[in-house]
Amino acid sequence: MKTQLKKGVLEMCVLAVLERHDSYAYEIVSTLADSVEMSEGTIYPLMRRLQSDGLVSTYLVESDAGPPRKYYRLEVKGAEMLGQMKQEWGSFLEEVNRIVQG
Amino acid sequence: MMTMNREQFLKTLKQELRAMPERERNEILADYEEYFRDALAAGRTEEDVARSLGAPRQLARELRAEASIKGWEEKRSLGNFARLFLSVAGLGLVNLMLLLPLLILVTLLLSFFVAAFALIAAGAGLVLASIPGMGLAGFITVDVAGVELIEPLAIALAGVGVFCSGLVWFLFDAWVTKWVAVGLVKYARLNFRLLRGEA
Repeated sequence: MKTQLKKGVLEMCVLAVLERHDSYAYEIVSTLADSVEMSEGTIYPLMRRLQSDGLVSTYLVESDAGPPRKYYRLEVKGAEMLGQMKQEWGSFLEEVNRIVQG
Repeated sequence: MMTMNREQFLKTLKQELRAMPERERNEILADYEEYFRDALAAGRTEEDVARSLGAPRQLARELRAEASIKGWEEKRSLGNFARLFLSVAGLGLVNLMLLLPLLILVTLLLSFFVAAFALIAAGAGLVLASIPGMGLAGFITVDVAGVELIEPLAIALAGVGVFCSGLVWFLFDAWVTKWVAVGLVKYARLNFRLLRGEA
């Protein structure tokens, strides 16, 4: 039950992380891995989907050592989507709490 | 599953993505190389990172399906529909119960397209044949319920009728194909989401 729930909200969690600040794949995974136990490899199919849907965009940042690193930024469309998801998530929690707690 | 190091993981992934355009493949490989760099810098071992990234073959399937969805959304062509269909089928999640009806549906859609084009061509042919002096009238005869049409106008009108019915078939078929594609995309992404979390 717990894993199924987490899978469903993974996309929302990724958008929420990017809402705080721009980030790169390893950082996003590390932020989420403690609580959401995501499969690390699927971050890229997910990010590519968010990108082709116009929810996030990417840019490269030069690093001191080695090739540049790819950063992800939340786009306006992504922020709108996140707001909508949060609202749905909130009202879902409320309904469940009302039933569970009586 | 066999334990891989960084090089083996990237090599397998590259091999699995060989059908992809080079630019896109290189971009994906650069992504995973970056991931290895960051993870190794955080003190993890290559084998540990490769294990938690998951099987390259399964990753490649999802990346291919995602790429074909993008291709279809950018350009709704028959070729892109075929690619979408194949990559979703290739996810290995479409079981036999689902694959057979899907194959029948796709075959039907395809034969409808062929029939529509045949009607359109036949209609155009009739209209051309009705033009006096084209020399086609001698070869083409139109038989409607046992009565042979000889008037050029009658043949031309029959031609327009056949042409238009072909056009209607075509539009209807295109419409159904579009909705089948929408269903395929939904199904594929639903399965990505289910797979996520299962290492």
